[in-house]
Amino acid sequence: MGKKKLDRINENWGPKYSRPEFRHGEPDKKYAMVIDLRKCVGCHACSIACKQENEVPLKHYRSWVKKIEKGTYPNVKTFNLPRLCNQCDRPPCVLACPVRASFKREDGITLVDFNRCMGCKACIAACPYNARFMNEGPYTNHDPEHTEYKDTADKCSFCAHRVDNGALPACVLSCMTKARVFGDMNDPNSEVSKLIHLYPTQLIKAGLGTEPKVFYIDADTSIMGRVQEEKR
Amino acid sequence: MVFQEVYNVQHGLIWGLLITSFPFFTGLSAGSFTLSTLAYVFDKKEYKVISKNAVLMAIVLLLMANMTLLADTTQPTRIYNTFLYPNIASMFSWATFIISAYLLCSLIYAYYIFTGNDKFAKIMGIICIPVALGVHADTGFVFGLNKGMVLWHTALMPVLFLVSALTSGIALLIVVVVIKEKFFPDEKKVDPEIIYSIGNLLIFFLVLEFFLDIVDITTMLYSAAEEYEAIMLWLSGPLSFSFIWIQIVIGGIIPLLILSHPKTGRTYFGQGLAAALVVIGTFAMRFNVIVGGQMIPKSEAGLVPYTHEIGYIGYTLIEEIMLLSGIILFGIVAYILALKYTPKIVTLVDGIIGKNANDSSTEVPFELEE
Ligand code: SF4
Ligand code: SF4
Repeated sequence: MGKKKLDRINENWGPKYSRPEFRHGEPDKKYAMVIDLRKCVGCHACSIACKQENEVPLKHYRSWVKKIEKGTYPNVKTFNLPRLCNQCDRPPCVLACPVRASFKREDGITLVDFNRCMGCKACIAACPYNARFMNEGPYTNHDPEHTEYKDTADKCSFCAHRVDNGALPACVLSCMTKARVFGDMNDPNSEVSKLIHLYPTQLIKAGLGTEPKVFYIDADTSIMGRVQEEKR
Repeated sequence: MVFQEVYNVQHGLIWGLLITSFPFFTGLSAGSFTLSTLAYVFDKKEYKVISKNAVLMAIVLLLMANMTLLADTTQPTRIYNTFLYPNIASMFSWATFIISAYLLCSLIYAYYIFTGNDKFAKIMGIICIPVALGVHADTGFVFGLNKGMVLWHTALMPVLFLVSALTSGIALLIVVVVIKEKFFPDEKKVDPEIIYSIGNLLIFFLVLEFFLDIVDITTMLYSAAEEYEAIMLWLSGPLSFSFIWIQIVIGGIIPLLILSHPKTGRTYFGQGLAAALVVIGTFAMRFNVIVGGQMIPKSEAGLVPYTHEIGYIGYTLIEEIMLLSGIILFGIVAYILALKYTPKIVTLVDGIIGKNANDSSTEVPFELEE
């Protein structure tokens, strides 16, 4: 990413999350991510990249890699499941927010308005995916005026500040095996569309009807939700 | 299949003791408010003596509930946003509006009771009862609509909350009246028969709550694997002591026995003890539901431990207990002060409002004063 692009990010990413153009996004797009677990090696690079990009404080993660071991010796394997906010199409977190601080843009990205959130935690309870946390801050979130936010709900934003300016999310860029693919689902020629249409995909807790926009390829459904652990 | 969690991010509790006591307080409030309307709306004149106590208690408890809610949000100064940007789908958003309406109309209702204006008290009471019950049903929805939370996500939740609200509200009123009779005997006497008949009401609601609990648990036991595991948290998991012994035995069976036994049920001591146990049991119920629900993880293995270290509560346990004690202390002081000064305040308000209020109060000249 060149310096010019970075400048543009900093220019366009306004201090106010409530700015109208920011709240809407591009109406004809629908962003989605495909995570190809055949390629994922479980290196946690995405978790680190996300932490650096978004100033995620200690003990919290916007994106992390779940590792589950299945089976007993000699038939045993570790399964990786990179996790992030699913950017649900029918997001329970948005329904739960009493002040409409959590909102959904037309391009499918669900965001938190840090200026408005009052920290009631209703959205954290509502999200079935554990994607949200309380950010104690202080964090500026790429605010050019360096306004410091603190004590609000926070979650993966699909790196909306980068995506709005034509860059890829930090986790996608950092993935060394290119397991994470990001793009516009409405565009039939985009890589995500092709992957979604060509391969069987899995969704986390698809039965809840939240319509997640993060698709997995070759995921073991038994480890995607709550893991029923059995001690050896 | 054998699974083992090698690495995962732990997501801890969201809501701790403060939010546990929020429905506890609103429940007590709704219950005692409904009791105070018995005399005016349902024409049960014998309950009139306790109406004043009950309505003041309802208002104080509602204030306490709001304080717990405010203390729990991390940005309490932005609470005005709930009025600026209401969200029709959010039960929390509804809660602010219903609670405000409830506070307003219970204040007006209390004013009419204290000026002895029976007719208007009845009208306000009729308006208020659905609002008071709505507050609590809404609290049930706040928890019951989270589809990620297996233990909470049941249609019974609002009903369960409503019934336990009435139970605990009635019980707390009995405790307060009994304490008043025991320790301040020189004040106006409440007829023991009235307390006993409220005790009978308590029996009815206790049985109803039992029934709902059994329905809930049985359905969960026969549901999907996750629900089965969730309910096992209550029956044999870390919450089993709090559930079986405190909620069911101490908060349900023992009070039922005390109340229904002809000897103990008809003494002040028996009534007071049973009612106090019911209040404790209801708090345990709130704890089991709210903290218990969060102990079922959404993506991790095992159970989320009840600790304030990981998670988003924002306070340590000691801080929460201290805040809660402060709020309870405020409630007790406010209630005592309210009992003492409300008649004066009412006359003051009368003076400010002027003619209208005076007129209406002369129409019905202090019918209330027994
Ligand atoms: S994953 Fe959770 S936080 Fe993300 S959109 Fe869905 S409900 Fe909201
Ligand atoms: S914590 Fe903030 S974003 Fe979440 S529901 Fe409450 S006000 Fe909305």
